[in-house]
Amino acid sequence: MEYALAVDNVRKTYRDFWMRPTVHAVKGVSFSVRAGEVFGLLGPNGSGKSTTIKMILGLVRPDGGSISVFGRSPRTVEARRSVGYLPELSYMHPFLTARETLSYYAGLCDLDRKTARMRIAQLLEMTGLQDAADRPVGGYSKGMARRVAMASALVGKPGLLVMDEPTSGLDPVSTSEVKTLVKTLSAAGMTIVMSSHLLADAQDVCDTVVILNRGEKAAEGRIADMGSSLEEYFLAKVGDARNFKVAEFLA
Amino acid sequence: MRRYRSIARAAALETLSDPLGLLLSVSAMAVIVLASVFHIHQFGESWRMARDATLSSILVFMALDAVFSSIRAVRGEIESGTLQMALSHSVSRFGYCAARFAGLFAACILSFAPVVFTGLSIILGAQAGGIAAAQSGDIPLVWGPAVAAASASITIPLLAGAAMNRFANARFAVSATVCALAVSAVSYAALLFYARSSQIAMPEIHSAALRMLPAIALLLPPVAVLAAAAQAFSFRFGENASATLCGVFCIAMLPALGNHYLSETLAEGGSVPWGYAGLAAAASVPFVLAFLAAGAALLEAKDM
Repeated sequence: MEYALAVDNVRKTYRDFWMRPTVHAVKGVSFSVRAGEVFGLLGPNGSGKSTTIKMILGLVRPDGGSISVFGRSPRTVEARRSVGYLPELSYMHPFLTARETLSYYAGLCDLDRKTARMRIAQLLEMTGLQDAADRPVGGYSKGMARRVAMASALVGKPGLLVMDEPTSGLDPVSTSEVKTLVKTLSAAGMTIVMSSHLLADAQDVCDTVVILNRGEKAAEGRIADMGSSLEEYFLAKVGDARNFKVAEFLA
Repeated sequence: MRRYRSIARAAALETLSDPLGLLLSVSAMAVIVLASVFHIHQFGESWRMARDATLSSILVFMALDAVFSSIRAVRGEIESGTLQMALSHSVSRFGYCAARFAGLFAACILSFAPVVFTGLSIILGAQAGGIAAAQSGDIPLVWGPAVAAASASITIPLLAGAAMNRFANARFAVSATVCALAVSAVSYAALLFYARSSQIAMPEIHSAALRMLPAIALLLPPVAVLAAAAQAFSFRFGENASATLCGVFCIAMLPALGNHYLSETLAEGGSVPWGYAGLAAAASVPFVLAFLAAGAALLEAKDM
């Protein structure tokens, strides 16, 4: 079986300036993602999804365990060559225009000038940003900034696309656009790992999911095997919603 | 290589877009003009004050620009998450630090090139005025145009930058810096032409200007070391702590930074050999590399 990504018993504890442990973010999580699969990393807030994603990208060093991206450690420059990243918030240089932003990321992906120009034009058209392409992204709306971030993640045509909460904070139309894009990219053979706490989105696009809770793996399986309601399955694994004692407070 | 060129270009553009660099270079030009005008009109001093003001202003303001631009840019990248984005691509930590430093330092040099031309204009005006006065006993011929040219190098770029921003949506600080470079270079060339047409003893003026260039080049290595140090500190510490550490480091470097000896050499009619400037640049390379390596190590250890 060919795996695009293999995560084996990774652990991460964040520490303060004096190296005292502050948060045990990930506690021995293992999973693997087949090439061409759409894989969902689900869990409530603070469950360790973003930390796991950052370890996959080589941005956070695990305390233990191992991660392999196309057979290589993500801390190596070679492994990151085939990875695209869409962060939870659209991180961009506000002084650059959308075209300059894409040109910057095309440079980071080592694309030659001709290929870069062609891909940037395609991506601007795909994301509907041609008219705003020469405006600084600092003045963009959240939805537009998200589209630039998406285009930046795709400019290098990565083999593995890692998306952290891709639909977070988007309106229904933009959410639907993102989901369609994920399905299209998956159909074209791209491996996609996305984290989300929006279960309906995950149910629509993912083939397989792992549910994390408090840094540990609570469940793993194919969406098709989880019954008709992912939400019920999720709550059964993670625990019921907290019952705020509002009446007592108001009284 | 393309990856690192992209990082360097973005760092240069970021530094040039930051109004801080423009503010500091304009301040340096204003100090050169005001100090020289005050001194010459008050004490009838020769061109030495213009020369000292030029050397000191370039050193102090350029060092401030390099340090604060480094700190602001790196902290901004960390806080806005663009550092994460860059490092999620296939770039090495050391390569990232080196490319970012190269872009920033190139932008600092570009920001301060107008200051050099303005300083040379003022020196030329002060010196040509002195020579003309000595030759004919008349009032200085070139001093007035030199002050006007230097003042134009300050005001025109600010107005042009504002106009470009208003009517062409261009970045204010970048347009103003490019315009300052053009105006100050043209002003200096025009002043040389004017002094030549006024039949002032040009060889002396030329040699004075040429003597300044290696002295100015000699100021760049310590600024480069400071910029690399500021970058390394700011990967680990916040803005205030990084600035404080740079200040402490700067105090330790003060004996090496003093341009007093340069001024003495130039005042005695001597010149700083280019080889000496080259030697200083070579001596600064291990320090710059050490700070880049320290920055890369701090980035490597950093969880983003």
